[in-house]
Amino acid sequence: MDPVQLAISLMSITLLAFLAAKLFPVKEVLNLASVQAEYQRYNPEAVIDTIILGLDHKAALLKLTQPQDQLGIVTRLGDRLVCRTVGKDDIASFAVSGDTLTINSDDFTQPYVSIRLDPDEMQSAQRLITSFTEPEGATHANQSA
Amino acid sequence: MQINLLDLGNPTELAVALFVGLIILEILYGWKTGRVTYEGKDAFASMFMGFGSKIAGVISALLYGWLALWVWTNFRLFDFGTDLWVFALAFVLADFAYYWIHRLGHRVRWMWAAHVIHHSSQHYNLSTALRQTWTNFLTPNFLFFIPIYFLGIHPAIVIFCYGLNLIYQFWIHTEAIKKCPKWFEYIFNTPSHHRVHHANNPRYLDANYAGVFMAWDRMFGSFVPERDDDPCNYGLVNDLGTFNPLRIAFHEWIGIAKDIWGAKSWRDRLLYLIAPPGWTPDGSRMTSDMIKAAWRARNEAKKTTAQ
Ligand SMILES: [Zn+2]
Ligand SMILES: [Zn+2]
Repeated sequence: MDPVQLAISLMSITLLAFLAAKLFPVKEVLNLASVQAEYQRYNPEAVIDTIILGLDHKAALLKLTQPQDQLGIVTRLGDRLVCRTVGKDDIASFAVSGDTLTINSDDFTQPYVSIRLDPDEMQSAQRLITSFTEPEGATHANQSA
Repeated sequence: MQINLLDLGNPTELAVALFVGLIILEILYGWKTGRVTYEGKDAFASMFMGFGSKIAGVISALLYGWLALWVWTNFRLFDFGTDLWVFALAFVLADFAYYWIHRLGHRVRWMWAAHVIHHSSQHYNLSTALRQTWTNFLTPNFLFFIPIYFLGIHPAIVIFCYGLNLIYQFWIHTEAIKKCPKWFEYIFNTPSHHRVHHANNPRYLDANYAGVFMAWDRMFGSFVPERDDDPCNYGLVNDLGTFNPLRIAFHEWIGIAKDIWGAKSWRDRLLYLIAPPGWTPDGSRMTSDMIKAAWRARNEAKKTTAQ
């Protein structure tokens, strides 16, 4: 393959993506209504109890009544949302550092999710996760809250 | 009219400039009208996947090009030559082969591991057309063209026509065109038909596999028309959480490897490879058939409640 052609292709790709980013700035897309609607669209049988929204609107945790022992996670990816339902076997560990809760999993395209929470919601989120992860099933590394 | 096979280039290389021009036009059109959406990182990931796919295509050509020539040289039933009508026949046959590669690409996890890349964006615009796999050489796709070489059409003609087929499929990745004229929608693959193919609405799963001609979908029962009351949502039933091209390129292969590693029997190992995506021995994940069945059951329940 011609290296000049490859370089031109890479430059064109970068310029086109830059143009797209400039003309379509990413707006706020994660809020209570969008999280609920999007999560239910992908999981119509699920029954949502509570939604814990991150302070920076980049992620949300969903307490579910159905399915039991599962946690809903909705994250922002660009201008779209990504929905996950995880059980105790999916969560490798979780950690709290300052106002940020990080959930690590073996999901190859989303190995961790970070969510910023105020102190009250941090406690609710931790209670929610520990309610269905066995004590030995989660590594509470770096917990400080 | 005879055509010199040595004069046949790869048409996709000539088309790159056209692709760039049309993407600029679509971005500007979307910016002006709001009828098309782009997102910078998503568009970069899609186009970078296309760039990687071109490079990885060299591996496929090296691996399977010789096989194609070997079959045509030693086992062809006829020698069709290089008349224009042979190109027309090759175009139709390559489109038929594409239909089955594509259909099985959605129904066999081994083939899906490569094809899933094309469906991994939640956007639907011309950059999505370029979001292509890097791992085609790991699939059995090349086998579907063997009968055409066996029949007696030269591999260079088939590869040329297949290239034209892929170029055709570029322009249909847009929301800018709602519907084409009725006769055109009937015969050819269009933005409307292909939007359905990229949608993850239960109604639209596993539909419209056509490359150019819709006849295959109509003949083999996989045609589903786009409906105004069920607007397309794009992406996978389990969307990717990344724009990282390496994670996009290999995620399903990693998933298969993990499942096979953890499988309890050889039967399960085989089925993790050849059963539809989402299959598990205990039914803990959902295949597209299960999603569609659940959707139908919900609709039935709603109707019963309404009566
Ligand atoms: Zn497809
Ligand atoms: Zn497509």
